[in-house]
This record gives sequence, structure tokens and C-alpha cells, in this order.
Amino acid sequence: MTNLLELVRGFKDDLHRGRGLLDHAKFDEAQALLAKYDGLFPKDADLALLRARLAFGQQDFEAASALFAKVLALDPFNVLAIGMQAHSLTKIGQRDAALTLLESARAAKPDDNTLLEYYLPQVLTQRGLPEAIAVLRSEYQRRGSNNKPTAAAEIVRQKALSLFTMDEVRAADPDDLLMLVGDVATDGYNLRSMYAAFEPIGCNCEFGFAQRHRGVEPLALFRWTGVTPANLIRMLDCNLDGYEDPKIYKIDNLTGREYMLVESLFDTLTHTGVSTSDLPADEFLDRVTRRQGFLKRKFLQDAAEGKKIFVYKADHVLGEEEMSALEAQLTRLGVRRILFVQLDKSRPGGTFEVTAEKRAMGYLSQVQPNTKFDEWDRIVVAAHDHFLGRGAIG
Amino acid sequence: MDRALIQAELQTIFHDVLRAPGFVPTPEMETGAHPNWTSIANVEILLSAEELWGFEFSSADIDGVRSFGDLIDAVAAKLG
Repeated sequence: MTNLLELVRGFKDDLHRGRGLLDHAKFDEAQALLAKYDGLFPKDADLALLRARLAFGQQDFEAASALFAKVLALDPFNVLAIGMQAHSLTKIGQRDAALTLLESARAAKPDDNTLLEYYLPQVLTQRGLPEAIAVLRSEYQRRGSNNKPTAAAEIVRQKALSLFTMDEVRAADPDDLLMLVGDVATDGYNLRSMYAAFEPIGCNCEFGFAQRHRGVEPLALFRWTGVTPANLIRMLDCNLDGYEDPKIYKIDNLTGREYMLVESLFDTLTHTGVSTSDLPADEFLDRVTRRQGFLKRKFLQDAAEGKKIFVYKADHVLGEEEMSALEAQLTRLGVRRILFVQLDKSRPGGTFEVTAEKRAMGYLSQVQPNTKFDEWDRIVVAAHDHFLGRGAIG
Repeated sequence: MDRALIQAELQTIFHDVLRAPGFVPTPEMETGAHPNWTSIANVEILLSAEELWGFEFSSADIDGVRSFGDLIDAVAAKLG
């Protein structure tokens, strides 16, 4: 009896450990761990799910599809298994089966937002943008105000803007479910080109998402990077020396879906936007560290040219000492336009003021995860007009 | 260099970087037109072009590239 209890307790511990290994893309170790249970616990859905995730991570999508089918036979409404099975089926060319699976699951669980988030991108790529918008419209009409599918709408917006022009997206979305109206600003500019004139430098990805929200995807070193103010100042102080060294990087899968780039010299953490299922961890690390050198070169060039508006966003009220230290380092590199944006509930969100020759301030009433993109739009338009519009400083 | 030759060379780079030998980019296509065509892929595409032709894109060149056609234009401008 003791042995049986120990076996079961060890099994649960191993399941937990296996999930962690898969989350961190350590597929060889996960494989060795799961091999202990070959032929055992055939009806355990959690073990079956780990085996399926392992095959998916190793990009053996045929095997993954067969294994996810087993999981779903044991646990028909496992949403993660449904979503990953749809991905697997798509990868092996069974696109119709992927959609059918998701539609069946949605028929059983119509209010499940995660299922909708898996479903809509499939509809968009297979049936087109108008059909995806129609599904979204139906969901908005059917649901109450407490369960609006806003995350699903954001996914559709991002995918649509990466596949189609702004005009095409607008034409397919007459009700503006994707919230694109107001994109056209004054003076012959549009928000897409305005947002492209900014270079984010911290403290997190919020401005990168604001750029994406307006359909612009510039290549920028800090766009998806989190860094503390002290470390950012340290980086700038040494001209980012050593930041391209592959030895300071490792990748992690903290989110369970995406490779994260962990850097040890300045303690930065960077989203890569690359799924752990897309390529093996070692290959990905080689590719992404090469990218860092390229983006560092671009960052220093942008700073030296002094044309872009460098945006530093903070989730707190900035002190003069912090702003002055950053401004001194940026100015030393050649930057001539700096926009500090801070969360400040004492001021109206979306307001802007010029505080010095090279410095302006923007104020937000909310920040991630409750970003108010209209506030960002107002700040960006005002800063663009001030720094780059008619009568702007040189 | 002839524009058609640049396009052919870039298409080879796309095939290698995107691991998509059958993909035929057209000038109006932008990031996302192929599932593997991501922003990280864009950096690799630009790096590969720099290594092939032996020049460096400026920041302005990079910011100006949104589509495959923009990339052909940028390379053509670099090669004079």
C-alpha cells in the first residue's frame, strides 16, 4: 500500500514538474520524465495532455494531433487541448477539421472567451475578414455588457492589421468593432505614420501595444522590453555596450506560450512574440541574439539622428531626478525629443504639456492591463504636432 | 542591379528565413502574409540582405520597409 501511495504521490509531483519543463521549452527533459510512465495511467487526462504538448513542442504535429484526440476522448471540454488540437490540425493541413472542432466546442460552451480567441483567427485566415467580423458582431450582440469579447476583438484587430491594409480592414468593419475610427488625424498625417515616429524606451510594452493598435509594427530595441529606470540609465551610460553579446541571453517560457528573452547584463526581459511551438529553443536563441545586435545598431542610430520622439512611460508619477537622469543620457546620445508619459490620476487622461525645450509630458488615467488607447492617441497627436508638425522645433 | 534580379535574390532569402520554399511574395505583401513572416523574421531578412550585398541599411531605410515591394526599392536604392 505504501508503495502505491508513493507512486501516486510521485506521479502527481512529476505531472507538476512536467508542466514546468514544457512551459520552459525543456522538451528533452520532459520527454525523459514522461518516459517513466510509458504504459502507465492510460486514462489519466493530465498525463495525456503533457504527452500531447510534448509532441506539439517538438513540432511533431501528426503525433500531437493523435495525442490531443486522446486527451479530448478523456476530457472532451479541455479548452487548452481543443485550442492546441486546432493548431495541430491546421499545421498538418486539416483546416476544415480544426474549424469543425472549434465550432463543436463553441456550440457546447458558447460563452467561453478562450474558445472564441482560438476560433476567430481560424475564421479570419480560412473564411476571410468579413466572416470573422460577422462572428464578432454576433458575439457582441448576443452577450451582455459584463462579458464583452474584447480580448478576442483585439486578437482579430492585430491579425487583420498584419494581413490587410487599414482601408481593407475598415471596409470590412463598418460598425467599427475593431475600434479603428479616428485613425485619420489632421495635417495630412494619419495615426499610423504618427505612431511610427516614436521610439519606446520603457518601462514596459504598453506603447508597443499602442503602436500595434494603430497598425504600425516598427522594429525597435525596447518595444517589447521591460527594464527598470536605474538599469536603463546604466545601459545608456555605456552606449549599450555588451548588449549584443549572445552569452548574456537565455530564453524562458514564463508565459507558457511564448519564448521570453532573459538578459543578465542589465536585467532586461523581452517578449519575442514567437511561440514555443514554432521552432526549437536552441535555434531560436541563435536567431534572437543576432536580432539584438541589429536592433542595438538601429537604436543608437535613431538616437544620434535626433529625429524620433523617444517615449518613456511610467506607471507612477515621475520625479524630476529620474527624468533629468534619463534626459541627460538620451541627450548625450543625440536625442532631441523626449516624451515622458506617466500614470497620474490627478490630471485628465490624454492630456499633454510641454515642460522644457526637448521635453514634454503626457498623462494617462489608466495603464496596462486597462490601457485607454484614445488617451495614447491624444498624447501622440499632440506630441507629434509639437515636435514634428508645422512650426515644430528643429 | 536589375530589379527582377533583386526580387529573385530576396525571394530566396524569404524562402530560407521563413522556411517556406513555396512562398512567392508579391510587392504589396506585408508582414504577416505568411505565418512565419513576423517582425523577428524581418530582422533576419534585412540582415541576410545586408550580408548578401555587403551594405548596411540605415534606420530610415529600415523604417521605410513595410512591404516586399518596399524592400526591393530599399535594396535597389542601396545598390544605386
